[in-house]
Amino acid sequence: MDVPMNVTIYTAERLENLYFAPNCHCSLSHRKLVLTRAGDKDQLVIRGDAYVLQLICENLLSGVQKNVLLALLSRLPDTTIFNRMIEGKYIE
Amino acid sequence: MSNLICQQIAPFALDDWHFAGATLFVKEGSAYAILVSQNGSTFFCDTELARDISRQKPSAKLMEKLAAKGFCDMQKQACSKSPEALPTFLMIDITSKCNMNCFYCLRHFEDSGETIAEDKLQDILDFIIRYYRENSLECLDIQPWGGEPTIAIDRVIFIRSYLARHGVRANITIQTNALNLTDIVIQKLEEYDISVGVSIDGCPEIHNKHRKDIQDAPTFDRVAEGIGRYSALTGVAPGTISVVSRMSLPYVEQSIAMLVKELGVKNLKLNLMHPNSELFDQSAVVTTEEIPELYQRVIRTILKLRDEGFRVVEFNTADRMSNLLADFCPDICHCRGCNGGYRLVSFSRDGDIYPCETIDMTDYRLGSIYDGVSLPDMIRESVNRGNPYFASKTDPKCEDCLWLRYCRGGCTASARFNGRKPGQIDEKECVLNRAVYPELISCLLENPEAAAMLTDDKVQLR
Repeated sequence: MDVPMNVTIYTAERLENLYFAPNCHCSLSHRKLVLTRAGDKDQLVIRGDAYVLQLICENLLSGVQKNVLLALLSRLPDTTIFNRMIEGKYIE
Repeated sequence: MSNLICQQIAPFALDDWHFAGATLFVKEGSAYAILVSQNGSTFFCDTELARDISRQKPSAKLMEKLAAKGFCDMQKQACSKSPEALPTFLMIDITSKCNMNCFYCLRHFEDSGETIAEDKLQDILDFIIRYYRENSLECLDIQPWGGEPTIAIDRVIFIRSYLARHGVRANITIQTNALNLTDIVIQKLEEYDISVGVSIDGCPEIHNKHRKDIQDAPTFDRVAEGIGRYSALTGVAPGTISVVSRMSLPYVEQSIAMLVKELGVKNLKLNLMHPNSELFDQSAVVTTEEIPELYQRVIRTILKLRDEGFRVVEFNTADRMSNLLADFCPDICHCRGCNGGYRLVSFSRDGDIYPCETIDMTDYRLGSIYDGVSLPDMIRESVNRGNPYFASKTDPKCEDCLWLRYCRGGCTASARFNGRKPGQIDEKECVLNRAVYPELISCLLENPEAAAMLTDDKVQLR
């Protein structure tokens, strides 16, 4: 399925939020969220509870405050995910 | 591009952050602004945030966001890294025979040409299969080309069957002049899952000047019939490529509207005519002075058609919009300059390999399938021994160019045929990019929905 590349129009309010980077494609399957940047072979594979992964995905699509994202990520087994999301430029 | 204001923001420091300088685009009456960094990153925001940036007084949150978008302490990386030598777009020259005689053709063999021998084709495919397996590739894009590929349709089908037999996943596409698109040919192409693009240069007034058959007769009606037949049998109109010469200029809007409204085309591409040799009649080529207005007209025509409810995308425009907003487009020529050799190679009928199908000259040759060298090694060796095709293009103009990240000196073949030496930039692409990117910014500031409208909803502003 072709997922559109979503580009955020920033306002003062939206500066509070984190979003998927426009060229980040997210693919959610059972207990696995795979993030890929267009044109890049590297992927970030996030494993965990299916419902939590779905919430993470939906929140990053619509914009989520950092503390909310961190709270969601804390429910995953891998504690390095947030840093890897930032370093890999999957979110902005 | 009326009322587009371009303001330079000098570098400044705030707390631990160092803003590296950027160009801010605003437009009278618009609620939005776009900031473009020296390495091509963009930041789309409202005018309130833009004001904070232009006064060099952003909040810590804004500075943090700008840093995440690549506006702080960046290095000029535009040309620093060579891409990986792992082409997945492979062109195979299957025939030089053609039933047309387009005046700008690269080749001019007409029907006196040759079709590739089956054993040679099999050797090329064996080389491709080894390459596919050794590099664990997932899927290839293969374009059998010529000449007119439907003249050698058995070879096209052989490619599909042979690759399928060896477990190679491939999208196979041909670009045809549509004269041979009979019911039987279309059914065969469908049966073997071969995608089709059609070359049509616009409305009859211009198409018939550009593209005559080998008896020197006009071809528009037959091409349009072929497109109609293909659409009726498959349920989808083929994508089209139209070559634009100076003669096309009076017909740009008319040609696009005809393709969309009368032939039902949804995916089209308008390519500038390249001179095909040093002897080419340069007076037929769109001049650098004419390029800005041409592409402004193309963009405005597509937006108008979308307003009228037609779903249409012009790929040269869409690619640049994707670059601008998402820092990526899938195109081999426009995302990070010419990627011939790295993402595309072309096989000649005798197994020689070139970095681009338009430039099959000895000095640009990468090697041969018979050299006993893997394709990635062959490309790397060719780069290392100084194949002029891979020379980095530079020009003083590029130093401060906002679009260098995407352009990188433009099309190597176009530069060559316009008399430039290896390492010199393609002036046409330079002018085109300097015109199109600001025009796209102007459209976005007028109406952010232009992003979706010009990319067939692939890029959306939210």
